Amino acid sequence: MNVLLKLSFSHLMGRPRQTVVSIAGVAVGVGFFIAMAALMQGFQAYFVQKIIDITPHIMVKDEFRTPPLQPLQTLFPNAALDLKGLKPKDEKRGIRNHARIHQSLKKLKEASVTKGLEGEAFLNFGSKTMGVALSGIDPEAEKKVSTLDKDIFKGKLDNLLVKKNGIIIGIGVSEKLGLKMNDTVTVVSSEGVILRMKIVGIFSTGLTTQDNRTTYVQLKKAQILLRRQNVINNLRLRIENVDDAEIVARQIENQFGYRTESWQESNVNVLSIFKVQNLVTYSTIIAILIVSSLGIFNIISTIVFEKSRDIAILKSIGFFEEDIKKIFLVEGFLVGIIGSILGWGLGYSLCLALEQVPISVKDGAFIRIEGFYLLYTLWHYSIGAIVSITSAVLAAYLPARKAAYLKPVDIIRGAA
Amino acid sequence: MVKKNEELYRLENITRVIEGEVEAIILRGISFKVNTHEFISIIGPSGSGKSSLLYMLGLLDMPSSGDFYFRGESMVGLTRLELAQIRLETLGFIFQFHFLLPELRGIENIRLPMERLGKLNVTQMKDRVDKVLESLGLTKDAYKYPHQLSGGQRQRVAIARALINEPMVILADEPTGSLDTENGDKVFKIFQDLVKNEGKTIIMVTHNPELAIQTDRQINIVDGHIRGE
Ligand SMILES: Nc1ncnc2c1ncn2[C@@H]1O[C@H](COP(=O)(O)OP(=O)(O)O)[C@@H](O)[C@H]1O
Ligand SMILES: [Mg+2]
Repeated sequence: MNVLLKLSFSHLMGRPRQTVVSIAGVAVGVGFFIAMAALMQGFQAYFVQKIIDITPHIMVKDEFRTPPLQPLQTLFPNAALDLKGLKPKDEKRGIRNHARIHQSLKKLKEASVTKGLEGEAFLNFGSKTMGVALSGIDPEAEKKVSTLDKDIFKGKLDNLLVKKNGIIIGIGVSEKLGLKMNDTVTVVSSEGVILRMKIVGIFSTGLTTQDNRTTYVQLKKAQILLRRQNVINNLRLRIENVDDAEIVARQIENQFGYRTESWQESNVNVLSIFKVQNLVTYSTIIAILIVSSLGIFNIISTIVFEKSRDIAILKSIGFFEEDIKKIFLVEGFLVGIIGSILGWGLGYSLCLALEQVPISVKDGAFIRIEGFYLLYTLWHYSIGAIVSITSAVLAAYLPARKAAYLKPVDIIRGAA
Repeated sequence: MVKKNEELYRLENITRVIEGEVEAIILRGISFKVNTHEFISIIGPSGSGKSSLLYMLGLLDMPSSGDFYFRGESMVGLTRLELAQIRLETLGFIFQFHFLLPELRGIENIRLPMERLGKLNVTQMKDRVDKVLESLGLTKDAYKYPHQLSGGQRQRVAIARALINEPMVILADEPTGSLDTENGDKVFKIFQDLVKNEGKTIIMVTHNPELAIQTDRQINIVDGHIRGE
């Protein structure tokens, strides 16, 4: 073994208690970071996967991002106008030319498209009433665009084709109104149209907003209920590569003018919460590592102080400042790497333990989950190790520098 | 082997002043020459500046004023790195206390300068170490740690470490000071042998007049001056 390396080792071995504490500090930092990151990002990945499965990847709406210019604005494009009391026009016609747009979207590669009409309605059942989102869909095309078909646990999506007055509800709606399969419910639309419809399916996606609010009927029925014959107000797409959703959405919006949202845009609130969560995770590891770096700084400063005579000897022999520095930087590195490896074990064990924890989140949350979803990725292990080894070496740097620039004569004079 | 009677050190009016709350003048105008193959002893009362002079000769310290030449080259103004390289290649230092690294075995202590210099391959290093160990009677105890060795053995390990890079100069600061007479004489014999048979130059600080008398020259330092030879 290289003698300098042996010196580094034996310096640490000479102070076992402090060394163990320093290593434990790093291990705890790395371990908790791995567990926290796996927990946070596991949940996030699960959530994003849910969104990708359940909600459309891209949705063309019957809206415009900027409201059409007012006549006055067209007349005086450079004037400073302050128009008061403007109300957005109620776009009764939905997406115009939707047949043409639908046709051209169908030609997109690696994408499926369906059209629908959404509106508001009330469900009355017995003495109970509940407001729901009414979604008129094309059952055949729907299968290619969302996982609704798979999420229906009672009945099936095809029932909408057979039973023209069928309605499919979420598990939340079913529980609140006490609705079962084949019950007949009164649907009152926001336009005042009343239809009696039969429950032909109940779904459960796990996404609370979906399960507690959305109901599906045949597109034709929705058009009748909402008094909008032949109108659709959304085109929904599912694409092969979900990361491209934003790009494709922009292309569609540029081509047809209608506001087109990618799943990222529709869920921007949640996704930005994730960013904050990640920030918190990373701040935590940095805080823990600062504490463990102080420990490392402390132990190596002590060693430098204790071993100043040895340093003087090495320098008087002709060892260079860089050699001396290396001895103590290696000590920081050793604490960092041993701590990291132990931290990997700790982090992995914590993850396994967390997986065993039965938790159940249902009401009032974004999402219904049973147990923790943990994301296992080598990234967390690498980041944890790289960050902690780097900070360990940095913590060793100041005392190492001090050791390197000790004047041998000062020490030999004092010791002799 | 180095040629005999060539100029090795030339010191001209060297002073060493240590700044501090009170200025300490440790060396006050020292001039002398050292030639190759000389065995010189430095004597004088305690605190007179003997060690300070030796540190300077060992390039561990630099004069505050005056000229300092080693092998015809001025040492003033060389970088720490250049000085370290010269120490490594041409100087061997031996202190009053053995100053071995307690974490390393005797043989590892001995190998330190050689490994730092890095000019030999593995077999050459092994041969060199074996030779030095044998000449100092350390072969049996080479793998012991310093705390397992006697005082005389430790000092011999320190000498082995000073010799391992085959330096032309050996600087020893009271090398026998912490040894009993028998071990002290042994070390002195080794030094005499190194000068006579290997052509080393040795400069040794000592309090022992009997040993000093047996060297080629004695330099008497009193209060930072050379009082006489
Ligand atoms: N760092 C220092 N600051 C002030 N004075 C010092 C320092 N180091 C040594 N001295 C003084 O320098 C003088 C010479 O010391 P030294 O060379 O060790 O003497 P010797 O080896 O002859 O006993 C002594 O008087 C000592 O007190
Ligand atoms: Mg002295």
